Amino acid sequence: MDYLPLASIVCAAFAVAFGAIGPALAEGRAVAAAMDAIARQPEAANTISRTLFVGLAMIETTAIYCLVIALLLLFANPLLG
Amino acid sequence: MTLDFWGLGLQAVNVLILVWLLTRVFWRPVAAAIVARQTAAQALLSDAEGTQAKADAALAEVTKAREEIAAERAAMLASAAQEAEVAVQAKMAEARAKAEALVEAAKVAQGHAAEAARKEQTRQAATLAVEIAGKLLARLDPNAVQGAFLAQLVAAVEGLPEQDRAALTRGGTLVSAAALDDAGQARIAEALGKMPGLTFVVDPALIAGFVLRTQHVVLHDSWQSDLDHILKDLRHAA
Amino acid sequence: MNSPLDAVALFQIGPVPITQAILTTWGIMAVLLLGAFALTRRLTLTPGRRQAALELIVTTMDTQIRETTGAEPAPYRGFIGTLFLFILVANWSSLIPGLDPPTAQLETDAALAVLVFLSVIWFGVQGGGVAGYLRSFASPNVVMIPLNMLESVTRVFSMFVRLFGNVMSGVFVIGIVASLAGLLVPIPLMALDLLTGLVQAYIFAVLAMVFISATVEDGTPKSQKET
Repeated sequence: MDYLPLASIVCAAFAVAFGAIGPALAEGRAVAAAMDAIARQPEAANTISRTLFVGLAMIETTAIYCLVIALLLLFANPLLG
Repeated sequence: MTLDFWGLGLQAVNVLILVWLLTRVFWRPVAAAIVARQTAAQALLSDAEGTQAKADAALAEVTKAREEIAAERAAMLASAAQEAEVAVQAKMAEARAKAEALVEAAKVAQGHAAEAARKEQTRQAATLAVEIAGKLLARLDPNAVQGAFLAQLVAAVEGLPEQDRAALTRGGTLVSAAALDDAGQARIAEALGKMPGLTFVVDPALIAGFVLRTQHVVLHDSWQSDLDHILKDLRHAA
Repeated sequence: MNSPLDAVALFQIGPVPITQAILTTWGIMAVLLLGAFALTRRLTLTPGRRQAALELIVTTMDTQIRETTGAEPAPYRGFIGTLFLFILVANWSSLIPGLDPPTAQLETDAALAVLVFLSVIWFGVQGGGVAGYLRSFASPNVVMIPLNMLESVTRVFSMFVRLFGNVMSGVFVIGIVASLAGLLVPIPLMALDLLTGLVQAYIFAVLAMVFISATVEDGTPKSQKET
């Protein structure tokens, strides 16, 4: 029995699952900090929210990297030929 | 997974072309338009600033002129006030002087009047006194008084120098208060040495006494003349 | 299900396989160029609505460049702005039914990343000369040279994967959801995709600008930097 496809699928799922934990926590902290900052300085809400979105996108990138790795494992696995 | 390098190169060229064309067609013209408008706005602004500066200068001039006018007005007011003050002072001084003069004149006039009144009263008093004296004297016994006067007259005639006595004998008038009796006439004639051409006149106004008038000499010896003397003296004293 | 990592060649022009992404890119280029040409035909001193909108785009771009890097925007405006506009329109082209955004394909993103890499070299050489560009690797000190050289490649690669992953994942998720429940259900995800597309375009342009300006600043001699 060939275990490679099975292992690839499991690893892809694990990559996405665990790769999502870190960015999720980070995004939560970032949003909380941004809310705090807006509550302190409502007049700076524009700048803060813009920076927040950019930062969220950057954080999300790590999850996207994991997704790319998972897709590579699923669709472009070099070991499967 | 295979990276298609032909596709990659083609996409890169595509984007480069897009960058080049958009730079020429879009970015530069719009930026140039922005710059042009900014320059125009700047020019407008500087124009407006120039106008503003002019207006400010004019305003400053007007303000200055107004201040000058105000200062002039204040000066004029001050000088007018000063003049008025001086005039008032002068008027007041003049009025005070006039008033003082008036008071002085009034005082003098009052003094004069008082003096005149006093003199008048004194004179009246003198007159009154003399009249009273005359009336009092008139109540005395005429004969007794006449006798005394006669004695005095005789003594006075005897006391005269010879020359005057001779002059008396050449004629004259003897005025007496009461009619002189013969004894009296005799005594006079005796005193004169011989009987002169004397005429005897009676004048009750003399009250008592005699007045002997000759050609050159008048001899008063009567109360009337004494009272006249006293009255004159009193009036002079007043 | 087709692999999102592979592109299907529709036809060939010589040795070049033409994929759907390349066709879409050409369409986007045509739309952008024609739109720009039509919109900027009559620029006047007193702007109407159209010109005001155009100027707003340009001014916003300048402001962003100035705020993020402190550099004068004029030399970079064309490259960075076009990068932003192209990626934005490409990301949003998924709104048209039947079209996949070109940025969901590896080749397009790789091409963009290569362009950023080259532009860093180009602007670095323009700013401080070849010596200045080489000197920028020795910043902040000589020990950092290998790391800087590695970084100049990896940061571009990171941009490449980031853009590709974001756009591709959006398309992929929408495809999966649409295959499960066709009607109305993908709409919120598409809305999220719009936001992601905008933010990714912004991030790509800003990062490119940051890399360029960092290289230019490091390559400029200290004495000139004061002026």
